[in-house]
Amino acid sequence: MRVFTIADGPHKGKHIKVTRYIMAARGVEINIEHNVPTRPGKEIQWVQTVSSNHGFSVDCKMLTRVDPFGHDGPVNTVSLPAVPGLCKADDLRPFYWTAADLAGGAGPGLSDAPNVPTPAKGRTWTQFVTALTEVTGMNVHHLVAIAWGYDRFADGSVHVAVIRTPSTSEMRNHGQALKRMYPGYKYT
Amino acid sequence: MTTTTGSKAPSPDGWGERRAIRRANARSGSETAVSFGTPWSAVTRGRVLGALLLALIASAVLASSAQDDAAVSLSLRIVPTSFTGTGARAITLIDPSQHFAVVLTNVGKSPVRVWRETCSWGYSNLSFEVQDQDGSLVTVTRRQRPWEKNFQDWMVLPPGDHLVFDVTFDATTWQHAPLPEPGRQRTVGLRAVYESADGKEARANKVWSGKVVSPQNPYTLFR
Repeated sequence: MRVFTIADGPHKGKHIKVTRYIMAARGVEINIEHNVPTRPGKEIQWVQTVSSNHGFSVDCKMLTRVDPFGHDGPVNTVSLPAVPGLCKADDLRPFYWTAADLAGGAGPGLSDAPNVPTPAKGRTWTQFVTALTEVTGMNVHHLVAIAWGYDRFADGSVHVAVIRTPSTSEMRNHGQALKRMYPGYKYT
Repeated sequence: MTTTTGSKAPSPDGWGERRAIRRANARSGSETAVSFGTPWSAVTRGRVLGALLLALIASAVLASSAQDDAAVSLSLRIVPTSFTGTGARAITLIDPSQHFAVVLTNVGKSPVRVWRETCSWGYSNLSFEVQDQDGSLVTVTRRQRPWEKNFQDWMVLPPGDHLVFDVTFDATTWQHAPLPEPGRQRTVGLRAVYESADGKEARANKVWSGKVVSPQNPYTLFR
């Protein structure tokens, strides 16, 4: 499985490791672990943004969104003051795991199994940027990030994208989504 | 209250391999059904098949005591929003914020893990069977939806405790809901179904799998 190493800073040489990345019936399944220790006064958090061409991008008027952000789903429960409207998040923090998720046993790795219904025609593409961050108060410092995703086609098939380091453009969109949706935090 | 059983995935104490005997609610007839735990080995399958034969033979004899079997672990019922003056069940869904409840209860002696609705493994587990006055049957299910954050999320339902589903029959979430036109009412036979699929995720997390149904009763829906 692929390993992505932190390039600099106090955690230089530590890494995230994708331990599972497989095609599922309607999407893809991914598990990521890390070996970054938590330093006093700081917390390690995952941040994930998602870009897609399906309904949420249109309905939320955002091509790239901090995951999760949508409507009419069981996790779409919290309105974000910075992004009013139809779409809702699962809490008021930009992190993948909510406090309730963590209390329920989620983490310290990241686990996701995104999927979409079969499109009527063409393809539905979904692309993620997942980052491990070190959080100090309201400062969210990115340690390392990966890009991954999948396509779902009208015949029901799924094509899984290669896991790779995000492009500069992808990281820019990732950062802009974070700033727009959770402007109270500072991102580096 | 209609109860039924499913299988709890294999657990260290072997609880998951037990057989289950269901006695359907007297309201819906005298059906007695038998279901089995998740098979996970040839030996166990053999034992379960043997148990099936025994259970089939025994079911007629044991029907009256089947609900006392520790294997009967979950029950399901629909709670209407109100009752009419004659005691008939009413569900009022005039405002989008209004809902009725479906209550899943652990009537067994052991804690049971069930999937939360917040993940795809639990989202579609609740459905309804609607029987119209002309006898036609329709199944009401949740619409498929995109999942962007989706992890295996389960909760423990302690013995005697409940998981309550708030149901709006909102058209963006539910398909084939028996809602009347606004300002009208409609009476149907309604039965809730909670079915949790067996699978590697359920086994790995020791999450209950099986099917449980509520009694079918007439409900008048107001909108």
